[in-house]
Amino acid sequence: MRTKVLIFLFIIALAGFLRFWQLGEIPPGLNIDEVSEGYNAYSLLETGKDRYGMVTPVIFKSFGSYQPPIYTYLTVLPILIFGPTIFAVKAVTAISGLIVVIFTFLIVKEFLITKKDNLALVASLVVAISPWAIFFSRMATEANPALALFIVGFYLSLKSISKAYFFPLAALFFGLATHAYYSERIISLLFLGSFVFIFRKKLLENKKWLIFGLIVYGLTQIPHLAILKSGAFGRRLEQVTYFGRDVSLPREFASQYLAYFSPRNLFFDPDDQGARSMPDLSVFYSWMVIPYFFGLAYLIKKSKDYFVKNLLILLIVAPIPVALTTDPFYTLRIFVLLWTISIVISLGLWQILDRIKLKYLALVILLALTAFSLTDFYLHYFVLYKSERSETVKYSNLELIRITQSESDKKFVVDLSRDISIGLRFAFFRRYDPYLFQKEIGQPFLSKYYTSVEHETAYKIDNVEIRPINWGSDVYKDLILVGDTLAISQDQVAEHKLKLEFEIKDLDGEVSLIGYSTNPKEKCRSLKAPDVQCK
Amino acid sequence: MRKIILVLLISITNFWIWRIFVQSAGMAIILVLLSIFLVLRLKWLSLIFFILLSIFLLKTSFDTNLLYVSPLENDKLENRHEYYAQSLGRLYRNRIGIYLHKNISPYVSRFEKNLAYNLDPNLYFFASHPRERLGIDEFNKFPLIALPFFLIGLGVLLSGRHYFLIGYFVLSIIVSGFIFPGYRLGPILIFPFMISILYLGLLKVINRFS
Repeated sequence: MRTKVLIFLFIIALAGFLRFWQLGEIPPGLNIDEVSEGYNAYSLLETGKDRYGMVTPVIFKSFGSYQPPIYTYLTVLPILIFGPTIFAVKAVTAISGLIVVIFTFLIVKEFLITKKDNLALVASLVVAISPWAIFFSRMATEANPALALFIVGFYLSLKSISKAYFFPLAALFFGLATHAYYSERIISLLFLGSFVFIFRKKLLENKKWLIFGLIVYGLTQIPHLAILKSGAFGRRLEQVTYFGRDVSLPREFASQYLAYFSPRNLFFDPDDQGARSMPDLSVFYSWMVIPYFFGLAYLIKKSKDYFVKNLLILLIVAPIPVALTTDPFYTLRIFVLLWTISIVISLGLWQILDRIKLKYLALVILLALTAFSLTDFYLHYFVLYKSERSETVKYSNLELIRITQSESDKKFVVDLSRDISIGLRFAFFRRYDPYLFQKEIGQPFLSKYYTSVEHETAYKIDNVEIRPINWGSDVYKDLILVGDTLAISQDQVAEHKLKLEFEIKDLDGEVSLIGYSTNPKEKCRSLKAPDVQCK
Repeated sequence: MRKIILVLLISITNFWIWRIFVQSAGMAIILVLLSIFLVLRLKWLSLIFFILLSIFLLKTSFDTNLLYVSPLENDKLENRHEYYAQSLGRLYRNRIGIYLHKNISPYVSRFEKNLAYNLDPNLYFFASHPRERLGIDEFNKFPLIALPFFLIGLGVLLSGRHYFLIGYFVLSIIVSGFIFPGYRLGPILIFPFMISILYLGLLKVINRFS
């Protein structure tokens, strides 16, 4: 028993290490959603309002869309402790990842019919080292605390069959999960509904707890109801669904649904979008395809088992929300499914290891697989992802912020045509006063907070203006113009007499941002008919 | 006899066999026969047909990309080698590490990719939608209506003791990994397996309602 506790503690330590090690450095920056959460949390901490001046938003307005609120609210505490840093913004997701590992152990230990602690250890190990679980525990995504809340709710709901008073608590966590991420709005409802329907006889034995639980769930939905007709509630679905498009709905739904069980997508090909995946590494390691099939076989054979029945419900309902959208294999929206598949893989792995008569050999195989997996992950994430995908988190922006701070006597204009979040990154990392931000930038959008997706398009943060470059006037002022290679062409450099000041390269060695100083005198001299701005 | 009729029925009511038939009637007949042998568990006949088909495919449609690294890929390998070397230092700057990186890993990952394509159920029911492959003529192989039977059949396969069928599947997936993914008839070695799975699914449904 003591050995098992030690192994469990080792797995937790390993999971913690994989999630927290160099969290502030890799990935080397913040993506658009992360910086929005970070600055809103900073603003809430300093002023009690978000960056637009909204008091306790039900959902946070952000760059043409809305962000579920739990992540931002939870980030206030790390920002209070660590200040506005990359680590602080990602602390919540890393802790959520750890909670998921712990509850995986508890769930499998308590509810799987074999009652074998070893299997619970294998399951928690699989979740601890799975690429999807580590990768997204290092990205400030709302989906990770949503998964943690859902898994806690799942654990409590499983308990509620024997101890009915856990049901309201389970309903509370499922309800909270709906405020953490979009997919959980549907998955929570579908799972809770299926759970109540399938185990109705048992649940009805303690009617008062069942009713109380449903009331609790209903109460958690009031904030959604408050904004139901505003446009903010359904905005994301409008953006991603194929409904209303010229497609065959049954075919589209079935193909999307099936894609989330495809070994190709789960074990071999990464998510298409670079920001959501590592180079050449899928959501699970390739070797896991074998235990996946063994695990599926186990589920089918033991489908009458209480825990397996619940896993099957999860497997069926978890891909439904994402199957309603157009994106091919969108990892962020399927955390509940990925967690369930992790359990399926664990079951399969256990089936395989259990057949090996020499227990030490089984242990050696498990350790070898773990070591192989972690090496694979290290190479793809800590080496390749960091180097090849640094611009997905705008590493170059951090360098630019450093330059603008060290040259505070100069004025900069930074083009935001291809990156609307660059201004907010300046505000966050330069700790721009949120009161001033609300007053100068956020105010115009406050009155239509939930009804319009208009957002800020220009910022002024101390000595830096972040907006599209105005070629008609900026070149007649003493400025440093900054943009990517598309924003400032060589023809424009020659025409406006610009002088190269600096180049910022990403970690792949590609030039991401270039800074040119203007030369108004030279520019005016070069004109045949002097511009009025030359006077 | 009932088995044979059922397999024949499944074999001819899909788009895939007709596409094969149009290109090569002989191949279509061989595949239908192999499907029947698989369902009837005629192990030796299945094995002989499978080996003959595999030899034919490997001779005519071997994926030569498996053994070729393009200049662009080579550049990528060189860059990655630098990243690894910077991060891992001595751990990476050794003969084994470099050999694995340059002479093994590109070929293994390409073979893995081929395996992955053939393992994708969407390849068989939705012409790879929603992740269609660039430059490959994707085509529907089975109608949507066959999908539930396929899933039921897969359940039957996984829960039962269909070791021969599983063995056939593993072998056919491995051999298909060596075949050019853009082969105009698709991964035809997997056709008999798909028919067998659909047969298992259909049989389960028939037994349930009769």
